Formats: sequence, C-alpha cells, structure tokens
Amino acid sequence: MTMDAKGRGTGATGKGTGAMNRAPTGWLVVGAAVLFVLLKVASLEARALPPEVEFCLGCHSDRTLELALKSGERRSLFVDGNVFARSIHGDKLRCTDCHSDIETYPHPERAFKNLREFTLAYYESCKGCHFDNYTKTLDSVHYTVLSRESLKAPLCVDCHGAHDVASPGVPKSRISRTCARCHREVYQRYAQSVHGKALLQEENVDVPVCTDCHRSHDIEDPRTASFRLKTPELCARCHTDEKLMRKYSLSTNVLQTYLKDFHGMTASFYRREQITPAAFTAVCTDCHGVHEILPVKDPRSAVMKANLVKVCRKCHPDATEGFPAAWLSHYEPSPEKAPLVYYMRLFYQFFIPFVVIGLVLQILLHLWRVVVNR
Amino acid sequence: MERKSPDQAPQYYLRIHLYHRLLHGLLMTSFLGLAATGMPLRFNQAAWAINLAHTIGGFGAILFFHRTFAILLTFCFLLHIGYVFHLAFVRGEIGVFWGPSSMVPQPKDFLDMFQHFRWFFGMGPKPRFGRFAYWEKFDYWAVFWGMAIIGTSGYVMWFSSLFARFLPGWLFNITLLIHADEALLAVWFIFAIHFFNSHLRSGRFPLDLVIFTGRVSEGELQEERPAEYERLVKEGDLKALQIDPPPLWLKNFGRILGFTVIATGFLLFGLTLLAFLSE
Repeated sequence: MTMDAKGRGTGATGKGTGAMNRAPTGWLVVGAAVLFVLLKVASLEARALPPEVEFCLGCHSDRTLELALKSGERRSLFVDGNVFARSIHGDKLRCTDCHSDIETYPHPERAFKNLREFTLAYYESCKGCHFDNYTKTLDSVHYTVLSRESLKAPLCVDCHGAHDVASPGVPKSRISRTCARCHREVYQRYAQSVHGKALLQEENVDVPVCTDCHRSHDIEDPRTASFRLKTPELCARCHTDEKLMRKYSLSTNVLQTYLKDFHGMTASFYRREQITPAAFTAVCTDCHGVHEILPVKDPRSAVMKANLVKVCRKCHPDATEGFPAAWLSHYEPSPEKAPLVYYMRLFYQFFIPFVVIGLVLQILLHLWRVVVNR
Repeated sequence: MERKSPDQAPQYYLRIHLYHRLLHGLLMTSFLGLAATGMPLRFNQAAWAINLAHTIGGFGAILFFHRTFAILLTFCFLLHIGYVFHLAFVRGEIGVFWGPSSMVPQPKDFLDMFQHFRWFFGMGPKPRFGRFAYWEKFDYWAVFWGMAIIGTSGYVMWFSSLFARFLPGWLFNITLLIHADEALLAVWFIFAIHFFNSHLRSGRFPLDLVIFTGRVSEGELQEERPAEYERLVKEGDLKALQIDPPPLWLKNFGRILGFTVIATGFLLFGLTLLAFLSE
C-alpha cells in the first residue's frame, strides 16, 4: 500500500479509510505479534502498549505502508509494535509524544522533498525530554557539519534509532559499531588495535570505545589543536588509574614522566594559550598512534625501539638512529634505569643548596662581623 | 672659602674601562633576559611561570627571546675570550694569566680567604685585598663556568638533530638536566650572592656604582684594596689612572639601571626559590 503526503490510503486495500475500520485489523496484527514474541522468545514478555499506540499501529503495522517523496524516494511508514514495545521508550511514550505534529487522521499534509528532510523534521522531537543532551549536540562537530556542510551529519535517531531506541552501551561494543556505520575506515583500524581487539574479541569493557575519548553528544572536532592538547589528559584517565592498570601490568607513571619531559612541558605551556600552532609538540597519539594503537610489546608497535626513529622523524626529519635514546621511555630515572640522569639529578639536588647555603653563610658571617665591629 | 679647592675634592681613579662596562651591560641584559625566559620553563608547573610566559607572548615567544639572548650572551663570551687573547698574545701582557691583575686565583687569594674568615670570627685583622678580591674571582669563574656549561648544553638542545649525529641520544637527558639546574644555580648565585657582595654589603649599600661609572675615589681604593693601591703607587701607575669624578648623569643612569636590575633579580630569586621549595 502506498500513501500520499496527505496520509490517504491509495492502495488497493486502503479504500475504506477511517480509523474505526482500521482498528480491528490493528488489534489482530498486534495480537499476532505478541503471540509471535511469546512463542519465539519465551523469556521476553512483551509489554502492553498504550491504547494510543495500538491505535496508530492500526495502520502503521502494515509493512507495505510507504510515503512517496518528491525526490522519488520512498519512506516506509511501518512500525514494528513489538520492537517499539521492547525499546527503552516502549512503556513511556506514545506516538504523538514525538510525532507531535500529527494529531488527526487523515494526517495534516507535510511536503518532504527527500528522505533526509523527513528525518530532519523530527530532529527536535527528542529535545522535549533530553534537553541536556540535545544542547550538547549543538556544540558537536556533527552539528557543525550539519549546519554548514552536509545534511548527512548524524542526528539523534541516526545513532540511537527511532522506534527501537535501546541503552546505547549494552553491550559496550555496540557504541563503536554504531559509529562504524559512517566511520568505517577508522573502525577497521580500531578493531585491529589493542583496545579494539579486547573489546570486540574478548568483550572486555575496560577498554575505551569511541565515545570514551570523543564523547557522545558534544563531540569535539578531533583535528583541532585544543583537542590534541587534551590527549594526554584523555589517555591518562585510564592510564593513571592504579587499579585498572595493575590488572594489565601497565605503568601509571606515563603521564607524569611525559609532563616532566620536554614534549610534555611544551604541551603544558600551549594548553594555556589561545592560539596554538597546529603542530607544536608530540602528544601521546603522535608516538603511539591513535585508533591503530598497539601494545608497546608488539613488534609492529610504532614505539617499539626498532621503529621509534621513524616516529621521531615525523617531527625531527634529520633524526639519526641514536636520537630516540634521548627519550627515557616513560621511565622515571633510577639507579637501574637511566642511572646517569638519576645520579646527575641527585648531585644537583645537593650541589645547588650546598653552594648557595655556603655562600649565604659567608655573607651572614661578614654581616655579623660588620655589626660586631660597630 | 666657600668652594672646595681642587686639593680637597676626592681624586677619582679609573677602575673599570669603558669596554668592560659595556661588556658587563651586555652580559647583564642577556643574563636577565635568559633568566626571565628560562625560569618559566624550569618551573613550568608554577602559576607565575605560566602567567609570565603568557605575558611575554606564549611559549613560542619565550623560546624566541631565550634564543636571542643566548646569541647575545655567546657574543659577549666570545668578545671576552677574544679580549683576553688579544691582551696576552698581541699586546704581550702575560700578566693577565698570572699576577696581581690576573683573574686566575693566586696563592694570596687562598691566604686572603683564610684571613677573611679569621677576621669574621674576630681572630685577626682584615686581609689587604688586591685588585680583585677572592670572592670577585669566584664570581668571575662562576659566570665563566656557567656560560660554558649552560651555553654548550643549550646549543646541543637547540640543534638536537645535528648533535645527535655524533652524540649518543642519552646525552640529551643530561643536557636538559644540566641546562636547567646549572641555570638555576646561576640565577640564584647572581641574584643573591653577586648582588649582595657587590652592592648590598656595608660601605656600598644600596648600590655600588663602580660598574656603571667605572670610577672609584682615592679613599675607597685605599680602604677596600690597600694592596692594589700600594702596588699602583710603587709601580708609578696610579697617576695614569687619574680621572674626573663621575658626572651626575652617569651616576643617575647607573642608579636607575642598577636598581631596576636588582629589583627584577630579587623578584626572580624569590619566585624560583618558592617554586623550588614547593617542588
């Protein structure tokens, strides 16, 4: 059956228009669906749908129900009542809570040029309840793209779904898979990384999914200097977590040692500046990689000793084989690791106060003598 | 008689030649600049360091100024080395390396130091200092050593890729450490010890203008450097050093410059000391 924009049934079975005629059919379909679910998934009890939803489903449970758009595209108007019932909104919302523009039957005429416009028309629907997340999206790179470049940028429903909204993080891998629908290439690299492998192959929820670093609603443009400067902080959220890192025998010293080193010092400075050059200093991801990050013991790891000089050359093009040795590999200097640096530091810790205090004492003696002689 | 006769006005002698005064000016400017742009890096976690760096124009700007002052100080260092060599090998004044006018520590300096300490405890007379007292020589060599060490390590880091061709990589960790800590020592030494010994000690407080005017009065020379005075009298060189009293404009110039630098130095000394103690 096909419907035109006015919502009149034009299909062969749609001749007898009118809600009352439609209702019994709807009841039957829902009943059948409920029975289907009960039989198929014995553990899942279908929730009872509110009468209004049942009413709408009278028409919209028709799988062939479509809306013809000016662009020639067709939009299915079928709603699986069962899917909706199991969705997170199943027992909370009625159809018109979101579709607030539709109050009557036949539905008021809406002229949608194309499929995207149809979806965009309902962009504001979520705002009524999810105002905080809605406003966050206005700061996101997705909204920037949407408002300036392309209507293809994702809206609420593109990630969350419409009638089948479920808890986004169940299971956790679902989040990364959602992003992968558009960010395919990044996802594939992520899937091969130490984080991605653990998540996708072992269902390990300790590792970050896309939104842990990029956030979900207020996604910042990751190509900006300000995002780059936040990288150490982002990685450190997990990598300075004692409990978590002990589980994988990883050091929690990585942030401190980075900040004490030249690169980290520079990064700290640029953090406070309004204007930051695009390439200024190395942050975590410049050496370790971003989505394709590998365990440091992996021979393919960019920070493996044999590969390190290549990483250095990204910024120091004429770096020689000996150059990477300047980096202490996140080790705190100690008698075992970098003993020379350790003892040199120790020497200065005593030498500087010794010299200064000694000379101050001499001055004080001098003063004392001058006072006594007076 | 209302006006002082020429005989009664104190006679002044030239102690520091214009060349050395200018060189000291260059040294002072570049050292202050290096300290002001370097210490925010050394204590990069302190709030004042971040604000100071921000005021100067951000990290890129402090790096630029630090390197500019470094070139200036290197120039100063080379000028001095050139001067010493010119004096010794062109003009044949070997006394620059050994003797009463030399900066090289003499046996007398160790004796002076020993006697000075005896005097501190009231166990003997004040030593009779020569042209350069032992602590002035210490000052000189501290700066000399500091420039060589901090300068070398600074250039190694500046041109790290170039030096990495023939230096092992681990050396860069040492250079960063030496550069930062040796510089801190230099800053504290200059802004506390040198300032005190030159300006804040009794008889000179609050400012010794000799480094700006180059002149000392006969009384000052006799009292502070009796050995030098006697040597000049004995060798008949004193007459040649006679000079007009310092003009007022020069004294005022010295006062303004001197107090500005001392105030800036003390501020940096206090800030770095606080940051060091809270590290």
